[in-house]
Amino acid sequence: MTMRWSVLLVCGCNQVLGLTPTRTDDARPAPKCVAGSLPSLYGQLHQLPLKYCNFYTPSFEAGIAVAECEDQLMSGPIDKRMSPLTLDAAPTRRERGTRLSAEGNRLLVPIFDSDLVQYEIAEYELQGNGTWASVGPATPYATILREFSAPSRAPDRRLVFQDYDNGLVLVELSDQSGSWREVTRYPVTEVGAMAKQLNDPNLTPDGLRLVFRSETILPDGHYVAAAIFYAERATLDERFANARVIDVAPHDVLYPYLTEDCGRLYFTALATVFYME
Amino acid sequence: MRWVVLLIASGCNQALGLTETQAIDAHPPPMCPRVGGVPTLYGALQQVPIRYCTHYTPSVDRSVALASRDVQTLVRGPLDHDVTEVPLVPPPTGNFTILPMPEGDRVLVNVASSVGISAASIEYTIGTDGAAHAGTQYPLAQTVALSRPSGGPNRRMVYEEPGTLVELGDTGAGFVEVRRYPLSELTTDASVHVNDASLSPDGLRLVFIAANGGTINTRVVYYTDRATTEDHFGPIHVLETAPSGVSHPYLTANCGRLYFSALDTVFYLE
Repeated sequence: MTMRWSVLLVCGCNQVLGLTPTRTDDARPAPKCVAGSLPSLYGQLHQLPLKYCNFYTPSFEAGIAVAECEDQLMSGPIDKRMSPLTLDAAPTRRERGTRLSAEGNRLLVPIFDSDLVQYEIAEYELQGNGTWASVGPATPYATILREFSAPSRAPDRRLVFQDYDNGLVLVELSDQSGSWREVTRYPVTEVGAMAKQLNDPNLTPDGLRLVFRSETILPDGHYVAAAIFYAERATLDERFANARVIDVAPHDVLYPYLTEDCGRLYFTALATVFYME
Repeated sequence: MRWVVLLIASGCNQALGLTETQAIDAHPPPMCPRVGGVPTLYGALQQVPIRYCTHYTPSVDRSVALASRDVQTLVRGPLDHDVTEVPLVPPPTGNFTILPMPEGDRVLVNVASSVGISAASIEYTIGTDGAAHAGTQYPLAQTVALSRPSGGPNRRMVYEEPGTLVELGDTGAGFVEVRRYPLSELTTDASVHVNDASLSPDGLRLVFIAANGGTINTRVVYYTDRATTEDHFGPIHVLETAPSGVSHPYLTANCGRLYFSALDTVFYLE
């Protein structure tokens, strides 16, 4: 009798406190990345309470996420509503594609330097009062605006972007030398034979997994305008190759972001943000 | 003592799988608006766990839903749950579209004309053997993109001939044209065309997809209604809470849910 009352009270606490329902066993195993395998996603979509947001970048280390919603930089708890964030000494010309660092304490903001006619990465650090203060000089990285990935974790942070100048290539930068420097570039055909482009590339926080969007023809002959591809590598010194389509992911979505445990894929679609587990 | 009662009540909800106890109802019960109004939908998307399906159509009694998968396969399942294939016996020939009916046990197969095949609509009814069997065949003068039909009797369908909305009614001996009127009665925007249309079970509400202001990249869900099936549909409204870029919308009988296909799956919003 006492046990029954205890169960009811525990369930009640879940309800009152908004916790996940108590289960007798976990329905699915905990997600983990398995070398050589696609991420273990089951296809269930969850909508975030956001509208008109792109570049959704969560930091599970800090518990916050950043996105651009109708050109306004926004931040908030992961998967929750967001509010505008403030940059101290805001750049005169901020471009699309601000990203949050894996640690959640830095923003990488693409800016245009009109004097030098080049695009640069400006960094901002989270302050105790919740604002973001500029740190260090901006680093030039392109002469034509390229939307870059979320940076992987320090030290030896990496980021990637697609370059069109000399054919479609994936450009990888590292900040190991104190500022962002190109460490390698390789053509789309090397990343994956089925991929035609490297749109919206993104890295996991460990820098070992790459997701991007490309048109392709699936093995069953279906043409897909935008499939989500996945590639991996064992170390940062290796190159991404053998990219494959994440077949459970929907087509025609934007800005994929894969979590470090390969258990969630965030993306923008239908004017909102989803994650798939 | 009051807290103990609340905790126990919440616990019962949890144990019995009921909806969470709330201090107030978050939304009032759904209700169709007066003629000329717009259904109240709140915008949170819920996914139906199925892939590659369109024309998702819940039955009026909410027990089952029908849909087509990969265009030409009929599927059926409990409302908002997984679906299984229902064979069409005999299978239609040529290019065809499956249009579920709100009774939940029948579909209309809209066959396009091609070499040696005349345009027609064939009614299939799901039998106790789990297959859908062909019944009455209604010839059509030409290939048209029919809407999903309303419920019977007095079943209705609509389609667009360029610039004109045509309505068909089931006489019992076949579908015949009951009226036609210019789309300009519904909108002054000449770029609006009726795609993926569906009628509500009572035939009084129509939702469809069209470009918003002629911009192909912003295909939105339009809604219009009428007081009786003898009336013309009135001015169209964009369902603002529905996302753009979706297909095959379907509004439930109580106007409380809009189902649609997107991202290779099916969603509803309430």
